[in-house]
Amino acid sequence: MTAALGLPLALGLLGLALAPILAHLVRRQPTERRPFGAMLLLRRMQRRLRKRRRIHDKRLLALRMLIIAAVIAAAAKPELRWPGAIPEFGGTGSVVVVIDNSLSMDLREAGGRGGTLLSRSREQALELVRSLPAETLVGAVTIGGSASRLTPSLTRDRSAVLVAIEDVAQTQLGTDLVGGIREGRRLLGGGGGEVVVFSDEAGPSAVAAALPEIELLTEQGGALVPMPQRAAVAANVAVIGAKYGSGPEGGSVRVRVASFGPDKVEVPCTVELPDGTEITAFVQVGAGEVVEEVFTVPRVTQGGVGTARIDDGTLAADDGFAFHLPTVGASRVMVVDGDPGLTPVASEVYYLERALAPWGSAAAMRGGVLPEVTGVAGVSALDPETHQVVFLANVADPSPIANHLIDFVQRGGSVVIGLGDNVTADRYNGVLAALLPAPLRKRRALAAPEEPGEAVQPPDTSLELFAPFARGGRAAFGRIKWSRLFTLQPYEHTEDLRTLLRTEGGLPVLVERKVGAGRVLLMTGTFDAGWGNLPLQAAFMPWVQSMVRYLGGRSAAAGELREARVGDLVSVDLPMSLVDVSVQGPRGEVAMETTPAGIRFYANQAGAYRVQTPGAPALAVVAVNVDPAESDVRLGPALAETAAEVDPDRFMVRFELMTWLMWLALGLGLVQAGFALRRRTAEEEVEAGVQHAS
Amino acid sequence: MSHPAWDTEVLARISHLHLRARQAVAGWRTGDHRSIRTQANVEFVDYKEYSPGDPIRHLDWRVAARSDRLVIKRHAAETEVPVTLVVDVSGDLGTGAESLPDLDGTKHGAAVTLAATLAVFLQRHGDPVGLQLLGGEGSPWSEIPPKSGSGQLAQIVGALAAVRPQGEAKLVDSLQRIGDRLPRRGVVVLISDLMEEPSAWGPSLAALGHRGIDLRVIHLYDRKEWGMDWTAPAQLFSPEGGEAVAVDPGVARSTFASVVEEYLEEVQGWLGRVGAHYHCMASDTPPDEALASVLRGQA
Repeated sequence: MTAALGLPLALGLLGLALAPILAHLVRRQPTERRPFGAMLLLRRMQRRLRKRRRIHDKRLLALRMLIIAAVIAAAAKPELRWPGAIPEFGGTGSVVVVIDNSLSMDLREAGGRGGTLLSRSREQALELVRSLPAETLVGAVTIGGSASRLTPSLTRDRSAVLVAIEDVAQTQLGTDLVGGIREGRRLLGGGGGEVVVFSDEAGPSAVAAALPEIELLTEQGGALVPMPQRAAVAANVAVIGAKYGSGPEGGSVRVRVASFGPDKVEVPCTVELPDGTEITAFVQVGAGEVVEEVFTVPRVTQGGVGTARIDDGTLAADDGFAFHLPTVGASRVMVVDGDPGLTPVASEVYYLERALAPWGSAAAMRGGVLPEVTGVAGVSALDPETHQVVFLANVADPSPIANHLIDFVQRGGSVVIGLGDNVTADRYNGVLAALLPAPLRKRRALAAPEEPGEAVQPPDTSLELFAPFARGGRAAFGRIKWSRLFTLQPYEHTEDLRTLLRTEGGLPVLVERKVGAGRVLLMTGTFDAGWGNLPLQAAFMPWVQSMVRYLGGRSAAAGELREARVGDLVSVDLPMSLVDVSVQGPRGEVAMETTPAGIRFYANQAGAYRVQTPGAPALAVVAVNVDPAESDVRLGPALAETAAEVDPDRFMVRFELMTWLMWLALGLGLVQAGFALRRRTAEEEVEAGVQHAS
Repeated sequence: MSHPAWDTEVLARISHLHLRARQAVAGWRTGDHRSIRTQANVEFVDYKEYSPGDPIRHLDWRVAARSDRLVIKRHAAETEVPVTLVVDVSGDLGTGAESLPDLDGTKHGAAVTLAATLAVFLQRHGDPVGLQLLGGEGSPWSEIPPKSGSGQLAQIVGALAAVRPQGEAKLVDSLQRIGDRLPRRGVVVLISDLMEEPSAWGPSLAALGHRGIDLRVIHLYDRKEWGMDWTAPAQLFSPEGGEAVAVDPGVARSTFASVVEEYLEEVQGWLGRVGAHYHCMASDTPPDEALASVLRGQA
């Protein structure tokens, strides 16, 4: 706050304020001197009166000085100035209306029952445009997301502008205040004019970032006219994060809830899982605090995009937060038995069933795997939405099922191919070439029938498949001995093809290949004890279980999992072979653009976006959420204050003091008169009669 | 200034003062007053000629019958009670008189007249009488120890006639000094305006009382001063020095009266605690009443 004087020269008269002191000092002294023999008594009287007289005299003196000073100060026409005024509008002939339709403008007053800030802004903007003189050039800009013009240039077509303003829609995007002022400046064509900003000015940095643009606007002769849109109580509760992670049962979803308001609040918070399951808890959040609430996921849960949601009401778009959830719990596994053996020892299915569901099918759900044993004919029932993994166990002729398997894998399923005596390289290489990591070559004997066979190298536990054996059990792989294996045609490791396990002699035992959205594991040995002792080793059961988790978890959400913010341009790389790709957003199909690498689209709403092709699992799933900065509706630095830094005179609140000072002088005069009157009482008269004289 | 002994004004004043004192004493009716001594007699010492004021009960009627002379029996206690007149002749008592102030118009004149009258009276009764002057100037003697005899009286009257009001009485120091020189038993008659803080001189006076001194105080004041009996505002100053105070008597009179009243209560309080006899006397009133009061030893 600063003070200024309209007539500073008048202050030169301030010396008159000393007049009462001078008058006091030169008060008439009696000239007669008289000897007095009772000075002791006179001084006693003086002492008695001195204190009261001093107070009264000083009070009167001060009052009289104040009166004179107030009158002189009033004559100098003083005024106080401080930044924060909204400049008076109009008069330049060119006006650009900037309307903030970002997410935060969706804030509803009166606890969610009133209108939004945007609706209020629209009304005010319409009123303003209607009130402009007919010859005024008008333009309009919105600043939700990125600034965009509602009118290509300034126009006198008032109705077009009014329609454009009425059509301004609420977005869930951020605030582009900088862009809005820039567009306003450009609409003014580098000349003077007024850029009227209807915005809640929310966010800690939006206003500060606008400073350079305001400076440019001022330099070109324009002026910024802020029309702040503030709720009576700036309060909002938002979900600003939700993430699935490890935890008891089926894991945990950690939800972060923030309160951007002055009070502590308690809100119900619900986590909605992809299968429709809802888990609700009440969350208490202090003013300006962020709390994390942990929700436990059931042991068996379908994967997909879940939503954490609170019931707030002031700003609906940030009340929910989408998050990715993998399939949790049982993976449905199909075991295709190609060689039902006469004895359990000769049956791959026997070992696989016991490895996948050692405590029976009832407990299989708890164990995470539901095996379904079928013959070749049953493969026709294969469905990637139902099954995650298919085990081929020594199937002699895969040709009837090859297309099913390829389609299954392309759509995100996984196949584990186990070989055996029934397998012939030609049949497999012919129909399953699209799945095999490398063409089969021939069966190869590694040891005589009575010899132990060739051991397996310890696996790389950094691989996800073998990660469970990092803390123990890795050595058990050394006891797996193979007496016979299928050899493969030479192959090279690529991004989609790698060898996961070898014998000590270097022969591949387990090779992985990514195909489409799914993957294939080729085991060059058997799942029974025919070619080696694998099913008899301690590592067998956990390894098979790990294999299912490894493959099943991926298959549940086979596509790419992405996260984005509302307003982001999301690019998804896709194989060229895919056709009929579409993007489904929270409110239906979303416009997309094809690029050489895939597709891209704007995510303009919060929620799940699925990139999909007919008949296949989603190619990519994008969890889109709003910018948490938009949720912060608390009052930040005002645009008017920032603009006042650039153009201080325009934004100064002026308060003229002259009238007040005159009233003050009058009031002081009355008080002074009252004191003077009191002073004329008998005792005061004595005080007047006895003075000290040096 | 010439030596007081050769100053014709002083000589005339001595004569005048002596005359005033004798007239005052002679004016009293015989038998109405008695000597200042009040001690009970215990041992006969000698005779003295009767003088008016002597108690008739002390007349030796046998001697009167035999020789037709009136004589008084004297006792040891009576002969050994000296009277010291302590007279304040500070500047305030003269209220600014350029020369010797009028014996009738000022506190100084009243003090001198009272002291001289008492001296004559006591001398006639054969009482030893001394003089202590507090302040003042021009007197050849400011301190005359108590003695009997006409020479002593002449010395006292001469000192009183010659002294001019000047300086400060400094009651505290003076009373302490006098107390150190007084005989163990005796009478002190203090004639003063007491224009010093009672809380200051009160303890010194009390010390005298504790020594068995019979204290009698004549408090002189100027009726015009205490009543602020003038009209025009004036700057009042003390002849003893200090800052002047501008006073409009028309508006200050009543408050001043209350201060005087408060002051008198304070003085009487102190003297009452000491057990001193007190008499307040305006300077423009005849000394008879004050003298009688002092001699009676009661107000």
